[in-house]
Amino acid sequence: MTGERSGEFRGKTIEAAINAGLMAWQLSRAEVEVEVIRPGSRGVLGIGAEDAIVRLTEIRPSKSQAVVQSEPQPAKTEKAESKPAPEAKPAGPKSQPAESKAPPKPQPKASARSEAKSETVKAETRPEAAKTAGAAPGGISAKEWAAAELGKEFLAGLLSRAGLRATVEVIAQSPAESEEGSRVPVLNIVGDDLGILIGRQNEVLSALEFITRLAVNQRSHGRSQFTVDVNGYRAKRAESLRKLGLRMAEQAIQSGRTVVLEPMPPAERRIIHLALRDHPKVFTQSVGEGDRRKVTIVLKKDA
Amino acid sequence: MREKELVEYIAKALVDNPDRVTVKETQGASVTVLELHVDRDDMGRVIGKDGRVANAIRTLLKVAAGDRRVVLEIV
Repeated sequence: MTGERSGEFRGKTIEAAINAGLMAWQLSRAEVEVEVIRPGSRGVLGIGAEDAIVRLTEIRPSKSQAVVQSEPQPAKTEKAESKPAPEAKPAGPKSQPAESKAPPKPQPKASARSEAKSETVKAETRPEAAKTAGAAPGGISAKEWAAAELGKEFLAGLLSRAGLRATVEVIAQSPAESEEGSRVPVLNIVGDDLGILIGRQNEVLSALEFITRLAVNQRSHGRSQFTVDVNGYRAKRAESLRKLGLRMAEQAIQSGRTVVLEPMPPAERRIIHLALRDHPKVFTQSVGEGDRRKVTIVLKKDA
Repeated sequence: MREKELVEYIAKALVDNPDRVTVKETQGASVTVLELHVDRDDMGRVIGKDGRVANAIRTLLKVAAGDRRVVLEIV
């Protein structure tokens, strides 16, 4: 992935898909060319939604960026920079860079702002970029982090009202959870005995994530992409699911039969689908309804 | 008490008119009933498509309530 700097990214909106790519590569909007492959549709409250797909190509790779890319946790630095006051909206849908609407508190600082400016310029010169830039202004990836920070504030307040002792940190998603490089911020809840926050089939975790996203979207009038995790549970689970998928694929090949996995929530099924997406001998398909839905691993006919 | 604050906190974060969010708590023998009131225009936001939002709030409420039974009604 670090070799050729061109790749496809998905997101709920074109903007989100671009953000995912920019975050994965740690680039600013001005440094990539954007080609919209599928605009996607939002559906209603996430139902019937189809992901947008964009292809990003890096315009001018440089050594200084290579250093930034290899940094394992972009969260740390971004977090410190964009630390927004809860009332600070992540840069809104204007073509002005952040400073014009930033509160007195330090919003994304110098580096992010200069990115924002160059991005605006770039957007005006490129028609297809301009279309999305209208909705995605100053310092795109900083915006996602800012949304995650809003989410963190909300989530921390929610947990304390639920009588739980826990803290929330914003980190970058682990590779196993995300599609090639398209990482999003994770609000990781840290504390002791928080199994209660996961629940059967991640029920509680999903509810936390759902409500937190809604709260952030209500505040920022955007569509946020972060996920919520508890003590790195999703990250660990993703890794073991990925391994499970590979093992079961092997079993399907050995036995010559379709392997049916246990029912899993959507996010977990997705991890299996992703893990086996490019497998030469099997493909995956989900069957069943609602919380009985499960992944099946099927042999390819011509393999 | 905690549950009431929790519901209030969540509801206020989701609606356009947080000032119009109120939660009324009724303690029964074995059940606590929470009645959530929001502005008419905000009903959809706290219920959601197929009640998804309401159900997510109920799920979180269960965590806060522990062994006690808490019922959330949106009126």
